[in-house]
Parts: sequence; C-alpha cells; structure tokens
Amino acid sequence: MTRLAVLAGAVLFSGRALAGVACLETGTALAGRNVDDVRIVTPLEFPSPAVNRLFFSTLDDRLARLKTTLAIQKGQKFTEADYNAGRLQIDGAVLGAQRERPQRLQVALVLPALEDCSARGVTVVYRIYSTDVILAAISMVEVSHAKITQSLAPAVAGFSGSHAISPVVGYNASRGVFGGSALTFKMDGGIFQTFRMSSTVTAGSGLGDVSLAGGRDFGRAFLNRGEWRIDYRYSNDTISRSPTELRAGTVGAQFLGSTRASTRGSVMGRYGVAVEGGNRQTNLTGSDVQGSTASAAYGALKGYAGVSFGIGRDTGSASYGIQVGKSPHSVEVGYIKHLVDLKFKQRFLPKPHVPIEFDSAFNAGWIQSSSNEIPAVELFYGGNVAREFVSGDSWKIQDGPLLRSFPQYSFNAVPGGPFGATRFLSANFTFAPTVSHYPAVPDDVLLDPILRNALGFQLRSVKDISVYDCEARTDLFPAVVYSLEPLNAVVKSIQSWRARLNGASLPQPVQDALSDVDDQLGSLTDALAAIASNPTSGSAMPSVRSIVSSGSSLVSQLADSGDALADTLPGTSAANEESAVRGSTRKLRDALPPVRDAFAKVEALNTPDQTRYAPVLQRLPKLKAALETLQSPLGTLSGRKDDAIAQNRDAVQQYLDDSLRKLNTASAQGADAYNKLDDLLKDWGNVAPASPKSLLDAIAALQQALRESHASPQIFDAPTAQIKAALNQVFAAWRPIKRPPMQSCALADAAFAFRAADAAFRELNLYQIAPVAVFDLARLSTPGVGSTGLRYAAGPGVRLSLATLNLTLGYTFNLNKRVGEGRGSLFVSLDVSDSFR
Amino acid sequence: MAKCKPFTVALALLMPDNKRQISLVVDRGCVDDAPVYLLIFVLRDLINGEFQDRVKLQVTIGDVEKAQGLMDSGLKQSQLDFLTGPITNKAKKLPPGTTSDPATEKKLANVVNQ
Repeated sequence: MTRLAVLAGAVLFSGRALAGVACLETGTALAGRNVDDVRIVTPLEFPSPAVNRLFFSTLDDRLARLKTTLAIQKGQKFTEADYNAGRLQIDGAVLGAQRERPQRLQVALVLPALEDCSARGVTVVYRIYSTDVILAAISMVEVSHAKITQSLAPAVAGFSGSHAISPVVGYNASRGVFGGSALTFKMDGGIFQTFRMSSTVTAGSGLGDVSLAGGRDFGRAFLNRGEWRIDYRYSNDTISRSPTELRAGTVGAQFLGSTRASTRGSVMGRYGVAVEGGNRQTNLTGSDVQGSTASAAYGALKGYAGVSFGIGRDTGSASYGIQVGKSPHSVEVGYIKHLVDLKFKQRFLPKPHVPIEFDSAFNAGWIQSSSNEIPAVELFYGGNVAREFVSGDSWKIQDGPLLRSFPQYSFNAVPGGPFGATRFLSANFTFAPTVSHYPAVPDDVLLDPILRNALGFQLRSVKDISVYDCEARTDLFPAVVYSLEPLNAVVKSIQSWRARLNGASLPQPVQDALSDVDDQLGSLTDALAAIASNPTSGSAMPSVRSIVSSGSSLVSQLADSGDALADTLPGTSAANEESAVRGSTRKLRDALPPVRDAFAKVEALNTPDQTRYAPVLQRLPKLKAALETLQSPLGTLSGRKDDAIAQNRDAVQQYLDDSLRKLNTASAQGADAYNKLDDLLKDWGNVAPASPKSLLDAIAALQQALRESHASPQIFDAPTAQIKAALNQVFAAWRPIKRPPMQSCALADAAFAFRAADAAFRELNLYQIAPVAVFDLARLSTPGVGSTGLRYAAGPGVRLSLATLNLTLGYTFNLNKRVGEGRGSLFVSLDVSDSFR
Repeated sequence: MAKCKPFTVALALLMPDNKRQISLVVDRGCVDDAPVYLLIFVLRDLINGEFQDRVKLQVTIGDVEKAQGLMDSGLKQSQLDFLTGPITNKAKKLPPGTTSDPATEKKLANVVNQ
C-alpha cells in the first residue's frame, strides 16, 4: 500500500514523456552524424527516474546494463551497422527475458527508430513492447496473482523459495487508521506452496491471520485447478459510536475447485467446501441478543458454488453459499445460512485507454434457525465494508449488506430490535468515467503499421497453435492414437535391424542410406514417444503429422537401404539383412495407411472448402480499383515536410501497400483462398484490424492532421467512400462463409489472447483517475421483529487505478437518515479489474 | 524519406510438458533502405528448474517477399509443425551450446517455404 501511494503521487505529478520526431532520412544517409542519445524505452518507463528505480529496478537494471554494452553509444559517430547491431543485442535481451520468465506464450516487439535529427546529430531509440513487461506491471499491483497466472501464465515451471514482507496501512470509519504488516513466504513443491501471516492493529481492534495455502492444475474439465488452505483467523472489531465489540477466532480448512473455462464467454465454474471451528464472542447483553447467543463455541460446514464469466470487456460472477452452523450448546445443527451474490463489472471503451466503468452488485441472505441457536456474530449486519463468507483471495462472497453511508458494521439492527438480523438484501452501483490516464502503451503507437502487423502475426499464430488442442479434443482423435499402436512393434524391429548393422563395416553408399534412415527413424521414434507421454494433448497432433510424413519417407529410405545392402554385402549376410529390411518395410507400409486414414478424418475438420470463396475473389478487383484511387491524392502530399502530415501520409501509404499486397496474393492464390483472405480481411482482435480497416483508420488520422494544418482533407473523401463501398461488398460475401469446425474452435480458444492483447495495448493504464458516483440500497429484517425498510445512500468519490488495481474512496450520504444515525460515512475499497480474463 | 523500417517480433512457446521452450524471432533490419530478414531459432530445455539455451541458430532469409509473406500470414500450421517437429528434432540432437549447424540452419531457412 505504501508503495502504491508513492507511485500514485509520483505519477500524478510527472509530465508525460513525449516521443521524439522521426527522422526522414535513411540510416545510410545519417552516417557520420553524432549520436546525441541512445534510449531504450518500454511501456513501463515512467517520466521519473526515481519511480522507475523504485518499482522496476530489476527490469531497469537489466536494460541499463544492456545500454552500456550496446554497439551504438552516445557521443559516437552514427553508422547503420552499429544501429542494426544494437537492435540484434536488444533481440538477445528479449530472448533472455523469455527464458527467465517462461509462459505458455510470450510475445515481444522491438521497434527501433531514429529521431530528432539535426544537421549534426541523431537520437537512437529502441522501443520494446513485451507481454513480459506488461505482465510485470500488472503483477506489481495484482491482489490475486492467480488471476493472471491462471489465465495467461498457467505453466510457469516451479519457482524458487522467496519471502516478502510488506507494510499494510488502511482506514475505515469504525477502526480508524490501522497499520500492520504481512509476511508471505513461498515454498518449493509440497502440498502447500505459500505461508502467509498478517496482522493489523488500531486502538481497540485488531485482525490477524496465519495460513498455509497450496494449489495445483489438474487440467480436468470439472477440476481444472484446485486450491486448498488451512488457516487461523482472529478478529476483534469495534463499531463506530457504539461500545459493541465483535470477536471471532476461527480455525478453518477449505478447498476451492475451478472448472476449465469454456471457450465461449470465458465461463468458469467454481465450487468449494470449508470446515471451520472456533468461537464467537460479543459484549452484548439482554435485549441486544434476543434471538441469538452473545458468546458461544463456533463450528460450521460451508459449501459454495458459482460461475464467473466474461463477455467482451464485461465480467460478472454469480455465487451461492450455504453455511450449516452447529448449535452453541451442542453438536447439532443450530442454523443454516444462505447467501446469494451477483456481481457485474461493465467497461465501455469509447476510445482507447479511456474506459467508463459501471460496477453493480446484488446480494441477499437469509438464516433458518430455531430461537437462540445463532451466535450473534454470525447474524447479518453491514456498513461500508462487507464481511466475506470465504477466507482467502480467490473467491469473494459477500456475507451481509454493503451500505456505504454507514461505518463498518454500524448498519446492524432493525428499529427497536436486537443486534443483527436474519435476512438482508443490498444493491450497490458505482459509476466511474476516466478523466485522466497514463497508458501502458502510448495512444499514438497503436496506429503504427508495424505494431499492428506484428500483433496480427502473433495473434494469428496463437490461433493456429490452438488448432492442435481443438483437434486433440475431437471424438475422432482417440482413433488416431489407437492406429499408432502397430507402429511401435515395427519401429522396434527396424531399430533392432539397425543395431545389428552398427558393428558391420559398410561401404559409403550404404552408410549414407542408413544415415537417412536414422534421421527419419529418430523423428518417428520421438514422435511416438511424445504421443505416448501425453496422448490427449494438443502437442500430439504435430507428432502425428510428423509420423505420417517421416513414416512415408522412411518407407522409401528403407527400400533404398535394402537395395544398397543387396548390392554391397556379400553372400548370406546380405540376404539376411536385405530380407529383414524388406520385411520391416512391408510392415511399415502396411501400418501407415490406418494412421493416414484416421488422421485424414481429423484433418477434414480443419479443411476449408476453397470453392466457396470464389464469390469473394470475384469482388476483389473492384476493391483493388478502389484502393488504387488513393494513389493520386497521396501523390499530392508527397512533397509535404510537415511532420504530422508526413507521418500520417506514410502510415496510409504503408497500409495501402499492405492491403494491395495481400489482395494481390489472395487473388493469385485461389487454391489457398481461405488463408489468404484471412490475411486480407480478418481482424486479429481490436489491436490488429484487417489492413483495409487500418487503412481507413489511417486515412481518418491523416484527414485530421490536414484539418489541423488548415489544409484540405476533402481530397480523400471520394476514395474513402469507394474503398468503404467495395470493402462492404467483399465482407458481405466473405463473412457468411462458415469456417471449418477446427478453425472456429481455435478462434474461440484464442479469444483469450485477443482479449488480453486488447486489454494490454488499448486498455491498460499505468494509472487512471476517475470521479466516482455511488448509489446503494440495503435492508435488514428479522421475521417477527421488524425491518429497517429500504435504506438509500449516494455520494461522490474518486477512483485511482494502478494497472488493474482499483482504489476507490469517497463519502456517501445517508439519504433517509433516522434519529441517532450519522449523515454519512467515508468509504474506501480496493478491488481488481478482471481486464485480462 | 526512409521506406524501410526495422523491427523485431519474438514469439516464445512453452511446450505442453513445460520442459521445453522454443523461441522464433523474425527480425527485419534495413541496409541502404532495403529490408534484410533474419530468423533466430532458440531451443531451450528445463535443466535443474531453469530453462537453458540448448541451441541457438540464426539464418538470413534472402527471399524478402517470402519473409514478408510470413509476417502477413503469421506462423501457419505447416510452419509450426516444421518448427516443433523436424527443426526441433534436429536441434535437440545437437550438442548443448551449439550456435551454428549448417544442416539445421538450412532447414530453418526453409520455414518460409512451408
């Protein structure tokens, strides 16, 4: 928290680092000028060196070390060779980072640039955009690291033991300012991987917990990941303007399971159980504890289930929790608590990096019990801080009403009734439009043709990798694995034959033939071993392809070897070895067709009907003609030296060249129309739209630059209209064509990568500030006693977000204030945006 | 005005067994305002809990159009198969620390033809 506050303060008062002006000259033409500066820039670079050092010391140090060893150095004479050598050194550093933090998929982009050219000097800039540094930004302030590591980095292989001690500082109206510390110790292997201990204290209250937690990826549909935890928690809460004290000591053990996320909408199921024991104590007496027990031994069995989901940028969760609590006086069931928790986070993005957020939550709970069987602490009560039903970070279920106009736990009784209630409902709304931000990736970079193309390259690659997993999940794939079984015996017989020949002195032609056999045999053996070790994973598919391919080659190479042996080995020995190899060749030839047939059935699910794309191809010439109409107006700007216009003109030219090149390739290669039309027309997420769409974006930017320079943008109106019309016709023919099932499946699987890239490049801010408007309503009631009626609260606040962590603070007014109640209350909340789910 | 703009895209894949990682770097440099494409292939194995470079190979792609085609299309399945299959199989037979092997480099250069 302390670091966050420093970071917040530092960035708030820092100016924005501006990009330099790109040079118009080529690297060759700049030879001999002074290198005025060499900069390595990442999205994490804050304008303040002090802040960089405080938060990114590891990364900063790595880059600083690299900078001192770059081939190109400040003060030297510029040469294109040094500039290129520097880029290759950066490539090496990027590769090093990928090795240090292995993840399922990592992408990085390096964009070198020559800037701020003068007659005598030039500045060299290497910009690095990497999922590593963006994830570093997120993890730096991520409350629940599992949220990122589960979705983006599920396969980090082991970690070293490490510990972290961090200060904890906070405030709420009941506890006042509180402080403490947290110790987290990570352990290698074993059932438990994390030991955590934390405590916070203030005058009259204290909270503490000690826990051991572990987790494991099981990779099954209904148990993709399991997490477990044993803990001891102690709390001593006071209530503002009341002498009431609520104390609880709990020993608990819990298990939380999560299902595999569905490919559509990222729906993930969660479920869990917990067993708890301990005590619940209050200093309440008399009528305040009518219907409940002031102090009692506590025991409960909890169960909970729910789903979380994401639709585009919106996320939500629905949970149900049940608690079966023991009677304070016996081991029999004394009460049953039910909780329903619905949460939604909507995130609109009218333009990149400027989100408007709308959070809503709906909660309800009820307790069934015979009289006096409920510990008072287990009743429902609320305020500006909600209690949590389940301990730990992974899953939040609210246990009581959230009404931000009341200090913590101060909303706790129906008029004239005892402490707590047996029923509650509450609804909470928070509206936060961003007014200030510092993007992780600068806005002006997002239109860069190279960045968009590179992201498209990466995201398309992710889709194709996902095809393997889809194929391995089909009902047809087990037959492929089954068809491979006879091959194992054949391979063993060939290996045995090869082993016999190892000791023989063979002429060169035979050795050459056998060397080829060894290569293919090695590939075949490796592929069979890879499939045997993990027959249901996506990695099996390339192995099957390899078997089909290397098996066929091996057949012909074995035949060649047989011929070579027949020609060179004398007498009986030659006859035996030739007979052996001919037998193996025949067996291999017989074993391969079933594999090919089974494989072909799976492949058929990934094979597009190319003939269906003929109508699209027929419309391409019109689009080409429309695109070419741009050349004339662009030509009129060729002499412009104005930086903004020249840069936007170049971007238009590059997207035009890209579009024409891809269009020409698609037109010329009807046999691969499916893929080539994807190259031309498919959006790879919002960060990498199709080239013609990017072209239209770039034209709009160029027209804006012309307007700002008081030049005429209308020269592009007619060509733009023509391109849009032609493109619409192409899309109208292309979009309805159904993709092969495996391609559709892969696109759905890869959707997480598209969303993550969109969030990282178009949404993620290192900080953002938003004014906040909140509105709450809540009610407590107890049958036979009464109800508070609906209570309303509203007020203003401010939200500071650091990467995905949101700190919201404000003041909420008690709109239907009653005698003895305060006007309102300060509230503070901390939560994490699930932008990367 | 310079027409050629340099850039590097680095893609790293962790194999499903979490014990092997391959990285493919597509690097475009500019010499006299003309593009020069370079492919860098790195095979890493998990040794004592850490990934270590086992083989790192680098080849220049002479056919600029094909290299640009690779950028336009992303890594196609056939190219991924080629990388994770024949190239990886060949690379893992090379001694640890290999930085040059003409036969494997020749295969790597062929990735744009897949």
